[in-house]
Amino acid sequence: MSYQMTKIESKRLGDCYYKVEHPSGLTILMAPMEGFSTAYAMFGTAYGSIDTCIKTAENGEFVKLPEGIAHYLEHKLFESEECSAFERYAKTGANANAFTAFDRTAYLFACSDKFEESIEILLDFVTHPYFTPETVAKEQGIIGQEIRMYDDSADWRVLFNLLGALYHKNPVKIDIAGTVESIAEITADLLYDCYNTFYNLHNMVLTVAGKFDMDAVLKAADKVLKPAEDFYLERAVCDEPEEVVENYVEQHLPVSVPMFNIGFKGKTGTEAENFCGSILDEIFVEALCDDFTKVYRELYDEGIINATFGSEVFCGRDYISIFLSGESREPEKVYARLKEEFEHLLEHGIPEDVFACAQRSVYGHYMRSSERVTGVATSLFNCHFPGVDMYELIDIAANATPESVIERAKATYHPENSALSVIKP
Amino acid sequence: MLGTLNRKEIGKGAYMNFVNDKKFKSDRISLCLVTPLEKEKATVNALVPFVLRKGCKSCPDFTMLNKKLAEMYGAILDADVAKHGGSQIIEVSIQFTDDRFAIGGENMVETAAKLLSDIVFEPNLDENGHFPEIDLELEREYLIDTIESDLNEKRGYAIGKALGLVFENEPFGVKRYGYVDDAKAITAESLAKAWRELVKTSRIEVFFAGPGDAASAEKVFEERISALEREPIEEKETEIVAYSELKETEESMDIVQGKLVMIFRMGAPKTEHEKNSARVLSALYGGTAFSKLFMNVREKMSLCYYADSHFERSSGVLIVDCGIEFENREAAQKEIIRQLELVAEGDFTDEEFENTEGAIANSLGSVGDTLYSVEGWYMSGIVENNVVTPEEDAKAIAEITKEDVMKSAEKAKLAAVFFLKGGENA
Repeated sequence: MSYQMTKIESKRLGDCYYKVEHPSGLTILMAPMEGFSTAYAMFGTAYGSIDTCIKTAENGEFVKLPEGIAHYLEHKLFESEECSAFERYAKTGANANAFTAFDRTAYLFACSDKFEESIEILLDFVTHPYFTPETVAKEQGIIGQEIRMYDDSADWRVLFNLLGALYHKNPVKIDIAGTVESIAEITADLLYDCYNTFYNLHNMVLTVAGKFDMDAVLKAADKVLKPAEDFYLERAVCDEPEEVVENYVEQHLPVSVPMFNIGFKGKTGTEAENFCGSILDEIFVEALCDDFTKVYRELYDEGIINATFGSEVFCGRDYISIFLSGESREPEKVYARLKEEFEHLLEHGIPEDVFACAQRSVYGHYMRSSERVTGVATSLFNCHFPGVDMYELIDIAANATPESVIERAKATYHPENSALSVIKP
Repeated sequence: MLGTLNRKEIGKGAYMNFVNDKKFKSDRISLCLVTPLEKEKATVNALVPFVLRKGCKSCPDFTMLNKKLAEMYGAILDADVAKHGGSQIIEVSIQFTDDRFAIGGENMVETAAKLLSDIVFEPNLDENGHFPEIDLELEREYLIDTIESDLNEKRGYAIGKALGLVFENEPFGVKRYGYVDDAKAITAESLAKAWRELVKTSRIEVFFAGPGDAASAEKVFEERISALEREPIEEKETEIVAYSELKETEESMDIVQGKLVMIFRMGAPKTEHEKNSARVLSALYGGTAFSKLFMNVREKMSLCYYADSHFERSSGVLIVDCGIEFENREAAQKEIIRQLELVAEGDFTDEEFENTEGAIANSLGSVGDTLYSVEGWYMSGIVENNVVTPEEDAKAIAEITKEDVMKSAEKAKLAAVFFLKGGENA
């Protein structure tokens, strides 16, 4: 079959990618990259751990799902009646994996050879679920182990404790893998229900970057994919207050130096607004406390932050927050100072020299991610669901002004709506 | 395709290495000081990159330095210490936007090369030749935190403990960041001396990868290095021990998942072929998602969430580590050993074997796709005195036979078992 391909270009980067709306309902985004030796493919759905309450055309009313089911489904999808997808990939040499995030699930592989075979395996196993009571029961042991592993991880706990302090109702505060108790409720039937609801091709995307033949992708899609039914889904809207649950939360775990995560909870917009806004927020947070700022230097010289200090804008379908993390013997002091600085910036704006540094850093970050095969496929994947063009991100960074950054920050954040999470030895 | 490595001597015991590749948009330059790993010097040497990262004569203020980097489109300046076999490597690197993407048309390569060379060779020393007192104090504290922070990540912690058991009295056992007591004993005097000695006696390896003009960087380093007083010391190969008594130990910690680490000595490989046999063995045994350990210990028996093996070629050990429920320890340990015995007996199919070699070839095919992996690939070849291209390496891997792998598995001798279990910290 021949398809209409839309070419999307970035003058700034000298790069391009192609978009195909496949008759099955799947959107396919492809970025061939000259000179590279590997291909990286991601096939996934706008379904993640936060989808815990949904209404479909069939059932007509909101149904509550066990916590951790999206992740459980991801594990089980690798199996079929004959053999696991890993065994199939073994023949092609591809390095395959999958992950479940808050608002998406992705199945992926990287390869430098036998791309045609691997892309077919990817499309095939994800579109052919096979669950039985026996195979579902068997997975509880392995996922139980995974949950325990996260329970011991200070990095993981400090983050989820923070989310619990920031969010009252938003399911983003729920652990992605669920709990040993919640996963015990999962049955084969329930997995099929979730699968049939969310793994509709209209709710999915395939992205490929690097060295590959675009025809091979389309040929595999023609061969494997069957037209999907219309997609209808309503997600329960969570009525999340702007205020946080509590400003402080701590837990004791075996760590050497106390670890902290500080979260500034933002007002959510649409998914696209969160996504595009997050680029401006990245510039804001660099101007707030990156290593060229006065406040960073003061905290560093006082010995209460060290080189582990870092920042992140955490955003998704209906949540956005600024996270600052690191190690500190006086995390309360770090929190107080950063909150003060946050207020100061909102009130007085960003000095021009500081802004230039912050903007250039963010610009450089997006520029560098465009020279990695994994970076490009991931960016295409992440931009698809909010409906944003990947190249818009670097343009937003390049076109930002101190005023636009502050205006956005003022409308989104209130420093009081924040929390500190600490892991102490 | 990975670009070819160009290498030449640019000073006494100093080398410029570069791989030119136009597909990238940024360049990466690393300056490495390679020195024998010695327990007495490991800690003070480990502090050197951290104080160097604080500034230099041309840019003495830490905040101004970071500002300069941010203006270079968020250039990343990293300083760290690594160990590779019997060598300690002090590495300072800078990754930055190539000239073509600099909005202001700046000459990025030369600026970055100068800055990197200033950072390593022209630090901000006072009239006594010492580093600023505040940098010494803060970075020493950070070094101590880093040494102790292995506790934060239980998987790495358990592997470190197991390696410590095996290499108690060998150079391989020296810890990457050194020791807390030694860190506390570092003075302004001893730190400055360590830096001077490193600059004078270590092998200097400059590595450039990216689309930019390597020649202009080379000129900067050649000039700077020629002005140094250099007396590189001779590097000796570290002996690899083939056998040692089994050491077993366990530790309690307030955790919910146990970590079991088993280390097998493979002995010193006499040939590259032997070394490659051990690599294929490790991949077949526990290096892929269809390996013996993954398919049996995890999938079939549900004994653990992960069970991996990897072969450390520089020290000749095979490391197996897994996360298990406390009560599964005996069963897991037994099964891990049994699976290795089965490999030695040849209990694997031609298909499993071919697929394993295919997986290794596949990952070798990706080496040229990031600046970081290009550098990592060639730098380990350079440190091991055995530079090959990934293509050559893939060919060598394809020559390994089933029998080679069985023989390799027979050589594996269990040398240490470490188990991290639950309960109160002892």
